[in-house]
Amino acid sequence: MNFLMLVALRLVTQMSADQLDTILFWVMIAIWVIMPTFIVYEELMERRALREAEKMSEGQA
Amino acid sequence: MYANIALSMLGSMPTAIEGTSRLIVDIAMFFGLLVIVAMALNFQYGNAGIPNMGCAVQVIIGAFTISAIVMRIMFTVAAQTGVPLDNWNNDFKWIYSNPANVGLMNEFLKSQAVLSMGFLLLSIGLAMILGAGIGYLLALPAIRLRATYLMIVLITVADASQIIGRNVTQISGGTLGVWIPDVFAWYPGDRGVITAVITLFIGLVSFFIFRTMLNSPYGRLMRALRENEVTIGSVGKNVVGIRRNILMFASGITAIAGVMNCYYLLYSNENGYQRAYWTYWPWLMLILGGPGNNAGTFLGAALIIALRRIIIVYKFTIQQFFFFPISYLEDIILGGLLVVVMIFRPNGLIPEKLLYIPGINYAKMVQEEVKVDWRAAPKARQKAAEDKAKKEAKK
Repeated sequence: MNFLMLVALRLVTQMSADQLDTILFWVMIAIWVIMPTFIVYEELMERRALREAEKMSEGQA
Repeated sequence: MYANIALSMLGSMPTAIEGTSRLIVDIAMFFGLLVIVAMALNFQYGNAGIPNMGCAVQVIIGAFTISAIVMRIMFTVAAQTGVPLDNWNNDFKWIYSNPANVGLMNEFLKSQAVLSMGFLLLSIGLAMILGAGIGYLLALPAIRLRATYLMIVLITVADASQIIGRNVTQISGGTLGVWIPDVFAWYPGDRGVITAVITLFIGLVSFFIFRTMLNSPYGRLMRALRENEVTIGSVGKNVVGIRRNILMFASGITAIAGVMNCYYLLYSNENGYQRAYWTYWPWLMLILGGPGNNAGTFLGAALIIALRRIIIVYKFTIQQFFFFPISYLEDIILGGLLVVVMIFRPNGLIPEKLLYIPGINYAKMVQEEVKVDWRAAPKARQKAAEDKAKKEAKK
């Protein structure tokens, strides 16, 4: 953990403004991608669970 | 060694935010802003059935919080630390000393990263409180009205807020507007990127908050309220109170979009908060994607923002195919798309599904209910009467 923090500290102190921009740009893209991916994943899981619940109740009926 | 490797990797990547990268940052920023508004709208309309046509007023409250309150706090703090700011205490000075004062503030904030972040957090907190406050005020007269009248009242209030901002210069500089100090002045790189990252992060956090609320018992109560508020009232729930709380909460979140828009543009003017942009476009996103689910809201927001940015970026190419000025195309698309969606896909691209709660088998409950055949009841009664008559005849 300390090692990672030291690496991060060195990166932050030695990076130029453009390099900081590059990191933030990719962080921005990551957040932008994570949001819809998570939502689509959750939506698919819920639809699958609903389908399974429906099948189960059909079997019981 | 690892730091050296990382630095060399960074050095080999494209660096300056310009050209296509600038366009991507801009799209991401407006995606973040409009997704916050559309999610809050989905929370109100999609899940609770409150047709909020006053999203613009909630956003404008966020912007006015910065220009009317936070900027004065900033000036006061800076003046206390010895920054030679010009007097800003009357209407004339508030507007005409503003560029010089903001320039001095930006110089001051360059060396004050912690203070700047404090101002940002203060802005967001205050905007949420005032947004919730305006939600409460809107709820007082409007919440007991039927949907159509509620929509009319909220549209009117959104227009009224713009008129107030235009005429009361102490709020946001009247028609001229005011410049806003840069709370990211301490950041050595491009301030657009850091604003977009923070806005998208706020959008992500808002999404998790809304998702948690919608999956909670309160979320189910909201859906029940949307379906039939008479039933909810008849079982002892405070319908007006629930609707007011929803409006207040969503207003608070929507106000954050106004704050981040102000800090992105570094400028606040009532003219930038027209209801076409901050109410009708989020409505189109919601209707296109499908109200009642967050996936639909995100899909709608992504499609509409991509469409608008394509029109803006390729306006000269597209212009040759139309006989009217291309600037009207956005509005035509807004109206046309809304009509097309309402005719062909009234439930949106991703229709709302049955609510799934782990542990509760809703499909089974629905099927059990369907099994009750009420049409067979008269026959059963007739058969029972015949049996009874036969028994009596035997006796």
